[in-house]
Amino acid sequence: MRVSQMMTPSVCVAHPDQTVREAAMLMASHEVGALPVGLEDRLVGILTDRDIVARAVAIGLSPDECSVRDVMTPEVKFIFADEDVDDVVRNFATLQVRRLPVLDRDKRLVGIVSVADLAMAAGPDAAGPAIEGVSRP
Amino acid sequence: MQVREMMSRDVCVAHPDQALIEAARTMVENDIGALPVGQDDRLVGMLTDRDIVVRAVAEGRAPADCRVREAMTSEVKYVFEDENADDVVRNMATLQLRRLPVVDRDKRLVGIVAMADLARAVGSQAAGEAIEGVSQPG
Repeated sequence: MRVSQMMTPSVCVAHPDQTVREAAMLMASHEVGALPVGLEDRLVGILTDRDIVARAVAIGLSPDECSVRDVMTPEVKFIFADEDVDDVVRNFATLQVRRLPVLDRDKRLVGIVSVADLAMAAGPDAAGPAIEGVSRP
Repeated sequence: MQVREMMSRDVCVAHPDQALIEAARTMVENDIGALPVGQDDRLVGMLTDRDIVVRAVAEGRAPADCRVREAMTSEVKYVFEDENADDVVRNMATLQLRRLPVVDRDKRLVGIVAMADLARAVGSQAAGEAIEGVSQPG
């Protein structure tokens, strides 16, 4: 099975110059815990609940004062839409992430894939090793 | 296997009147995404990364001016320390939670149990089932 068959295709994207408050509002209204950050059709980072707590709230930055760029994780791991699901399982296990952005071969953002999607698509036997990989200290 | 055998006992607790910035620091320093909130030895809430983003950051609250009680989830789900591990798997799947506080039969907070603990204790198949439950919509 290909990644494109199990990813969430409609992706809500933040802009690096948006305020963290605006991004948080997007994350709240779309009920997502991670937001890819895009600039001119290219993926430049990812912003998670955790990034906001660790890099804004814990250091006392007001949500209207800091930008997505200041808080996001710029080094982005991703996978391609035409990759095999087995590769995704391996990616999750070795990269220790819960979500990965999905790009086409022109490196345009086309979706996002999560451990939840993986479990839905592949069942407990496939998701188990990935979770175990993530949970290992 | 009982919950007490697989929980972490070393639990950080926030106070409802603490400033959000302090609770966030505790979460970051201890590398945890959910913090039980306790008052007078009783569990009164749970504060997660998600709660902070949705109820404080999205509302434009400054982290030094916002109290934990304003952002926490006060309807707390928990498990008892003497419950069976299978019950915890079922609980976590049904309640769609990745972490649950553990209380004794006097309802005192004694630990926290996470999907990571679960995966290590009962093996990957049960963790997979729990995750599948968590991932199901609505």
